[in-house]
Order: sequence, then structure tokens, then C-alpha cells
Amino acid sequence: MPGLLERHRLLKNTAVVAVACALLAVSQSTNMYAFWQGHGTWSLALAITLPTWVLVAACVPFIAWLARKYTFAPQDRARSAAIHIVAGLVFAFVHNATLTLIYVLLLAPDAPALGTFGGRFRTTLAFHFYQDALAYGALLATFLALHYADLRSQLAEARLTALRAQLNPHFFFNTLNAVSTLALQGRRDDVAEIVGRLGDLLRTALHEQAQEVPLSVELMFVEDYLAIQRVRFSDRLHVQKTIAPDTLDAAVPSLVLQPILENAVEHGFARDAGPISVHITVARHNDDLLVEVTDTGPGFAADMRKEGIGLANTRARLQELYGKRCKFEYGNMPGGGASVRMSIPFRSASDAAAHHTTAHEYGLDAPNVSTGRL
Amino acid sequence: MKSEQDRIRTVTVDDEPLARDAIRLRLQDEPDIEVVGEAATGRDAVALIGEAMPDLVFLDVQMPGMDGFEVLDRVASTWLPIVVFVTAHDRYAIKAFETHALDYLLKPFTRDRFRAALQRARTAFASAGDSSAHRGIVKLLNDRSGSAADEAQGYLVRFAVKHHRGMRLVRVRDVDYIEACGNYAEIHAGDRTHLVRMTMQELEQRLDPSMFVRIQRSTIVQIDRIRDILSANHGDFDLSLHDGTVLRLSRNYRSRLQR
Repeated sequence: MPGLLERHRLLKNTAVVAVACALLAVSQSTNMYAFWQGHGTWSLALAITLPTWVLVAACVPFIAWLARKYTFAPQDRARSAAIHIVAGLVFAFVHNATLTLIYVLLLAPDAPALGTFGGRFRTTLAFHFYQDALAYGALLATFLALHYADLRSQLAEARLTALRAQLNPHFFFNTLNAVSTLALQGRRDDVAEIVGRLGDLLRTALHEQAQEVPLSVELMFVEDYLAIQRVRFSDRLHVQKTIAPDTLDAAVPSLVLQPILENAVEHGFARDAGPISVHITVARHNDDLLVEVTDTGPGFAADMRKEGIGLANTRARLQELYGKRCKFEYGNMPGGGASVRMSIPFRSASDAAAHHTTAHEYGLDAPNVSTGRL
Repeated sequence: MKSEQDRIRTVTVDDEPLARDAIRLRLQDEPDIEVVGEAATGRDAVALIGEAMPDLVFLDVQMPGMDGFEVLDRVASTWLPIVVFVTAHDRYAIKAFETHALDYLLKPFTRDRFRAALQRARTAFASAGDSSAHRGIVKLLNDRSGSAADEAQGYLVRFAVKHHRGMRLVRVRDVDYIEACGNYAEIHAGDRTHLVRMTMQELEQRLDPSMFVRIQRSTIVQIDRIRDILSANHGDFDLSLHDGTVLRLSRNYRSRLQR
């Protein structure tokens, strides 16, 4: 429903600006009328002041829109400056032209000394141009400040979500419980192994800053994760990987496989206590990287009405990163078991790092904005 | 060594083998505990508990497929054991336990915490067959099955009935009719009969009057179970139920049925 919310906010903001400008116009014209001490009517004062405020009210949404589009982001500074200078100039000229027109139409017939449009325009410019530039700058600064405050809170929220997601408490505590049991059973090697793996996982979850990592790095994370799950489920989990060698350096969203594997493992053991196999396949197809995870578990329920959080988050994250250039689908395989497939643009991780603008570059210190997980 | 009969027959339910091991290892040193089975899925748990009728169950809450609550819900009409819930992380469940004063273990747990839970289970076992020991679980199950509204009105949703040396829960809607039997009441549900320590007067107050009606001094019947009303002697009537049972409707109580 963000569309509706957006529209509601827009409507509210427009109303606030309109009311504020109307009040300012009334206040200014009243003031001007008082100053005239009977040499003019209040409606004349309003006719002189109102157009300025109508213009301001009309320009505010436009300036707000420009401020959001051209934000002086590091790679965009020169263009933003140019756009805003031009917009500021247009704003000043339109305002001055309006003012001049009012003088000429309303005041000149009574006071010919005020001169023609051309002459009057130059005088007006000399008086008002710099104030208008200042007004535009002030409005721009306000909207930019609001924009960056918004961005900052969004990033903080995303960071928290990512952290919580990677440290799925259910997985974490169950793993600790497994470690506790292994210790009681005197299985020292297993304790050391699982604690080491858990350390690696935590480190990655806490410190991974990049949105995208090379597939080889992601596979190391997956290896740690699956090693722990194998111990938890006592070797009833078999994992097979078919990774095309030319894909190891491909950029993939960090921790993208984990929620899918978690689904496979946790649901795979739901129906019975038998073993399950998980097969991870990664291949390149023309300009796309294809990733598929299949398992021999119970598959998706036929009456599944809503996709789980893991799938929904993965879909949202892929969409955010690649837009229409990605595909994400899942279903049951003919022989039973679930299959999750995704296709993302193939890029080598080193290229991706150069092209990808992360929030970090905005100086906002925002790490991984991932949302994936169950 | 305690005699075979006095030992607490215990079952562990968890989808992870190591989690089941954790409980079994700690139970090994307890002479009064006898582990009679383990289950790895909710489905297996329902079968195992129904069959083995254990005194005590260590029950994992978060299992994929069928969670611990559903296991209890399904098994309660056959056998309601003393339950120690075990969970890794489930704020909803923990809140439910707190609300109903039920004991639970958080994984991983310390030796002391485990022993404390076991001690409480022993106390409950000592008073097993006393429905008060199961009040928390009955309320929890009622909350979850959406019958909380009935309960809030003060109407009974389930009877906790004695069964061997433990309890089982009989859903009020499964009851056909109830007959007075001294200080007890005999509850007829399907082909089973259970005794509860309640008077007809108490029952009449605790049962939803839109579901149950008293048809004579010593009989209450579920209205939906009545098939025919047949005229008998002296203004009395015979009620025949769907299962073939015939009950006498006393003329003094006729007006209650007409309502």
C-alpha cells in the first residue's frame, strides 16, 4: 500500500503549503493596506501580494520533487548543482515577471512614471532577484535535509532488519543447544567444529557490508551453515553442489542462498525423520546467472496461500537489486521435493563492486541492506 | 530403586536428535524416571503419546509441520500427560506459558534449570489425576482452539477426566448425555463413559444452556443428540438419541426443553 500512503502524504503536504501561503498572503496584504493609510483598498493590496504566494505554493511541490531527484550525491554533484541553478533562475525570473506584470497592469495606469514592462522588469530584478535566489536555496536546503533524514532512518532500519535476519534466533539457540549436548556426550571434535563454524557465520553476519559478494564467498558461508545443520540433524542431510567454474567470481546478493536452504532443511525434516538431499546448481546462461536449489523434502504444500517470509524477502531483495532483470520462481518437482530457481544478470564481482553504488558512499555508513530470511 | 509402577514414564519430542539426546542424557541419572519413547515429528508424537500414555512429556514447541501445541490438542482427548514445554525461541509461546503458569525450558538449558523443571513435574505427578494440575494446559488449549469465548462466559469447554493414573480431556461438544451417580456424574461420550466429581446442579450451571438441557433430576442431554421425542405414560416422554439410547423426559422438566 505504499502508493496510497504516498498519495495521502502528498495531499496532506499540498494542503499544508496552500493554507500557509494563503495565510501569508492575507497577512502581507493587510500589513500593506495598513501602511498605505487609506491611499488604496485592501483588495488592491491582496491583488499585489497574492500572485507571489500562489507562485510559491505552485513551485513548492516542484522544488521538493527536484530536491529528491537531484540530491547532490557524490557522483551526481555537478549535475545537481547545474539543475538547481537553472531551476532557481527560472523561479526568480518567473516571479519577477509576475511582479512586473502586476505593477504594469494594476499600478501603471495611475502612475505612468513607473514606466513600461521592460524598464520596470529591470528595476524589479535589481530589487528582488537575490531574494528569490535566497528563497529557492532555503526551500531546497529544507527538502534536502528532509530527504537525507528519511534516508538515514531507512538505512538504519534496513541494517537492523538485516542483522536480525542473519542471526535467526531459532537457528542460533538450537545450535547452541546442540553444542551443549555434544559437550555432554563428550564429542570434543564435533564441539570444536560446530563452534568454529558458528564463529564464521556470526562474523560474516556481523561484518558483511557489501550487498553483493562473489559466489565463492557465498558458497563458503553456505558450507558453514550446512555443516552446522548436518551436525544438528545427525548426518541425515546430504548436500550436493554443481557449480560451473566460470561462475565462482560472479556477483550474487550476499546471504541469498541461506533462507532458501533453511526452508529446505527445516521443512525437509518436518514430515518424517528420514534423510533429505539438497542440490545446489549454479550455471551461466548467456548474460544470466542461474541458481537453483532443489531438495527431496515434502515440497510446497498444494494449498499454500501465501509465500513464507524467506521467499517473500528473497523476491523483494532481488527486485530491489536487479529490477526487471531478475527472475524468481519456485514449485514442486515432478518426482516430489521443492525447487527454487532464480536468475540474475551475470556480472563478475569485481565489475559489480566498481559499478554498484552502495549507501556507504553517501557517507551514511550503511552496510548490507539485505532483508532476506525466514 | 523405586518399583516399576512408581516410576515416571517419560517421552521426549523434538525434531532434532541432539535436542532429544540432551533431555535423555539428563534423565539418565534420575532413578524415578523411565524413558519410554522418543518422537521426531508432531505426527509421531501424537501416535506415541496416545499409545504409550506417558506420565510426562518434554515437548518441543517449534516443530515444522505440526507444532507442540497441535500435538497436545490432538492427543488430549485420549491422554493428557504432564507437559514440560521446550523451546529455543518463540516469544509467542513463552507469553502463553507465562499467562497460564506452565513450566517451560529454554534451549540450551543449565543442569539446575532442568532439575527445577523436573522437580515441578514430580510434584504434578504426585497429584496426577487431580484436574487442578492440568488447569493451565486446559486453558491454553481452549485459548488456542478459539473456545476462549465460551470459557470467558463461564461455560465449560472440556472436562478433565481421570483415566488410569492420569487425565484425559473430553470436549463438551463430544458429550452425548450425563447421568447423576451419587456425588459424581457419569459422562457419556460416544462409546466411552467417564466419571467426574460434579453435581447435576453444578453441571447445569457450567454447561451452555443453548447446547445442554436437563431432562430429569438425574439426566442432562446435549440437545443436538436428540432424534425423536415419543410420548410415554403419565405425561412423561421418551427421548431417543441418535446413538439409539432412550432417556426419560420427566414432565416437570418438559418446559425446559420447550424453551
